[in-house]
Amino acid sequence: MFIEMRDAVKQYGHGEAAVRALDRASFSMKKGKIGVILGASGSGKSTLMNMIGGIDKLDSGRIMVDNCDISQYSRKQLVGYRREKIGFVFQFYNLIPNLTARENIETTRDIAVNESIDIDEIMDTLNMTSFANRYPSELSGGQQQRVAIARAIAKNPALLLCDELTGALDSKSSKDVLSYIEKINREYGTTVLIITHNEAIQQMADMVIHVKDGRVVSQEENDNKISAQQLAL
Amino acid sequence: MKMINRKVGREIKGNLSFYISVTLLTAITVFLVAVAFSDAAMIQEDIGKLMADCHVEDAQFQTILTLEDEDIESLEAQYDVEIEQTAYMDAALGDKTLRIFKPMESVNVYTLLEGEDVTEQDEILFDRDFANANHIEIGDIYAINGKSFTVTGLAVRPDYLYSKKSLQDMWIDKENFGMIQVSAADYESLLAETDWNESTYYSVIFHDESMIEAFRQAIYGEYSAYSYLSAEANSRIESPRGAGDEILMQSWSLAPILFIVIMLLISIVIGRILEREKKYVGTLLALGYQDREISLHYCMYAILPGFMGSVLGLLLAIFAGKGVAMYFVIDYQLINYSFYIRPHVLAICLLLPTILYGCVSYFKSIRMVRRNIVSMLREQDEQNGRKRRRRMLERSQISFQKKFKIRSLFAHMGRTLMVLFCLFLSSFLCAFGFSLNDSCRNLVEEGTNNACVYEYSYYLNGMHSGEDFGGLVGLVVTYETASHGTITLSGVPAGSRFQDMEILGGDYREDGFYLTNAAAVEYGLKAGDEMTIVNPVTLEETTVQLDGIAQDNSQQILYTSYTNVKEIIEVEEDYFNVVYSDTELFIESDALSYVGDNDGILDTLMNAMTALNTMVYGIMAIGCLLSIISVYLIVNLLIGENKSNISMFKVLGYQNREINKMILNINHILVVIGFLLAIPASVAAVKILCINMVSLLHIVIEPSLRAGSVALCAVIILCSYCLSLLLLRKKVDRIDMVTCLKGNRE
Repeated sequence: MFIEMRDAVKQYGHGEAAVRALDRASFSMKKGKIGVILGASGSGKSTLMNMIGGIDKLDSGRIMVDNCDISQYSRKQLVGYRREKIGFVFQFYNLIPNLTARENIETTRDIAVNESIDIDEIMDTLNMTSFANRYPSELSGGQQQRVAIARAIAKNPALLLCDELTGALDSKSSKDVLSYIEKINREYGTTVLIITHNEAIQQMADMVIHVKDGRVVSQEENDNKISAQQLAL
Repeated sequence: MKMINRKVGREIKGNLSFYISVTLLTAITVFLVAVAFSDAAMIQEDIGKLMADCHVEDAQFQTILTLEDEDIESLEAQYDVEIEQTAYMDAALGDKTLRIFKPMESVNVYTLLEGEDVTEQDEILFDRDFANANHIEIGDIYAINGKSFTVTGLAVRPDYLYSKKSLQDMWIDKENFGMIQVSAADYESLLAETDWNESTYYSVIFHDESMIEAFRQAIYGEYSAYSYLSAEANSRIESPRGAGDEILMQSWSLAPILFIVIMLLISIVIGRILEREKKYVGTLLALGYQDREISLHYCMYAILPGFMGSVLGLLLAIFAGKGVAMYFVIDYQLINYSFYIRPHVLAICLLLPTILYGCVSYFKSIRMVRRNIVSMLREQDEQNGRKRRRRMLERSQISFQKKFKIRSLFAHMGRTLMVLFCLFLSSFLCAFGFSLNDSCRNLVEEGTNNACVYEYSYYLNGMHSGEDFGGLVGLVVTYETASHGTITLSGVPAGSRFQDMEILGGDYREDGFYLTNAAAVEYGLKAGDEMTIVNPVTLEETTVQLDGIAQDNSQQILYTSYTNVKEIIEVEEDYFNVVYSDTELFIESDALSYVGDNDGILDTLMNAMTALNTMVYGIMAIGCLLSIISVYLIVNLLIGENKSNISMFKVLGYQNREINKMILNINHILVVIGFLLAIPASVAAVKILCINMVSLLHIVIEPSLRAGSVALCAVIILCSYCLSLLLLRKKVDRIDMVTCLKGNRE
């Protein structure tokens, strides 16, 4: 398995204010697949993504990614892990405001450990050459999200984590963005894990994981996968 | 308004480092202002009161014909003056000299500082500084000439607050020179029983300034006065009188700069708070709040640290003010000072920072609330200039890290200029201290070269003729200038080394007149100008043309030939009153007034340097503190603004070192620019200060900054800067990826 999470527990706060964001959550996923984690707001899906992405640490349990037990990693090792293996795409893009679209993409290429993908090629793939020199504030939501995706894959990560990547987009932009994700998965063989509360997106996934109250309540393979453009968003 | 003001406390908690820094800087500034004004007032008032209560003399003079009681009465009546003879004798006890004064009744009356006055025989009063330096306490028995005296108290004379043994001395020696008051009977008995010489002169107080000149003419004409020294020319009186002014001058050079820095910091930080909260401000405006209400609310952010800093500074001043004052009056006799913060100083210190900071904050916020409400609600940036600057280098091929740094630097010009200003100011203060130090060192080194052409200068008690003391002989007399200053007229021996003196823009001519640079600067004279000097005794004026300026910044001397001086002061052939020699001569102490030697002058100047160094280190410490606080505050702002970027870089896998390079290190270039600007500025400032100090110290300090000092200054500033960044690195480390990414969703 490419990703394997076992009995993951994460609690925030103490005493009466304590919230158990992950409660013995377990799931696994194969390499090169698109996975969708579904759950309502507050179900723990973002926490789950943060743990897999190595930006937060479990209280207990184990996470294996590409045969590495990242739950045992030190802070420094986690930096290296994120640098080498992980690409992130966020709902609100988190682009650097005083860098142009192209320069935002360069931020990851500069620290790439793997052989990075050519930026022009990515921009071609994501159809963003026309706004390469614009600043984030001059771009639409869909365009910003494409920059965020390009930035995430420029270092050729093994795993692309997308947190509510269509949450701030209209239906057409959402389909476009998800199509690009499919394309990246297809062309670069990148494993993709999409976290969303939008049930329609599960139809484009190879694997669907349902999360509720911090637990993985189901994990099933999707045999009737459809393309992103066919989704009823 | 009450509800929105609740957030003031929360904002302060959330931005504690800024408020602590502003409070601290305000406290330092208020402390400086409160201490400077109160100390200056205390010194001026207490010294002034003591001098007035003890009837300090306005002048002293000596006459060939003795003034009998009826003469004194007649002069007093005719010229509205008070005259009394001052008499003392010097008792040499080993290395120590005790000056025993005859009690006076109406002029230069001593005042008791501690203990009891002398009421009967065998009782004695010491001056406090000598007693402290020699561990003499009230009740001790002290033997003089084999006779035991009981120390009943400590006293001070108003004309000896700066207790130089000789007026020619450059420095005081509290351990080896003391003053004693005894009863009139004891004084007469000691005079009769010992071979100690009695020195006398007349001390006078003028009640009508318009009669001074007539009085001086009368004592010369009728009683053959041969010396006259006004209080203004008497450093024992004039130096302590001017001590308060010196404090004010030093403090005024620093306090306003500090206030300006704090106000700029407040302006920047309040501006950033407003920028961050523009959506909130827009909402309040949309809800119907008035511009004034919102602006007043933001005033609170600045008023609180202003007021807290003022209170803290005042408390510090109350506890430490007197101690600081003692540093300024350390050379003078320790009198009973009463330190308190003057009410007007208290009011200014409490209100000024609060009002100034409040105004800065009010005007900053009133500009914000007058913006378009819709653009505020949408958090749109209306500043086109900033947008333009953000577009810099967009076509350039340089790495994104460099572009990021350059744009961060130029996108917020106000902030960048503020960092530059603070770095400039801290480098300036540091370099200013070093420059002052170097300039004084130069004065010491060059001063001794110029001051002592010969190793030893023996100033004799009076005019001598025919005696061979073994050195070159000359004439030295004190004259007044047309502006009532004093100048030494020095008649140098023919063929002496004086003719090798460095003359600015010319050569030494044996019968020429050469004014030292110290005097030339003070009186605004140059070569070719005419100078009028006045004989203080006869009031006869002599006008001479200056042939050049002698390169001597430490003395006020008009050099000319022995022959010229002999003619001016009208003395017989071969008369002299000074002997110059490169080897030590043995001249009877009775014949000597004062001996000047290179080592002694060097020691005294070095002593003066030690006192100055304390001030210099103080200025440098404030410079470093300013650098640390201001850089910390502004880079902290930068971190606050870049929280989500930092968080994002962390998520992308950037190491802290790489992030620090992009976020924290953008000001490196400003350190260099600030430092390079500060070096010439500090030398220029020292020059201005030195020019202003000429009239106070009567010396010219040539501004200088040595290469070693520049290097040391650079190291200090770099260390302060790095310390700020080191503290801030931890802040970058602490930024949590999850929290910041969550924050972006709000």
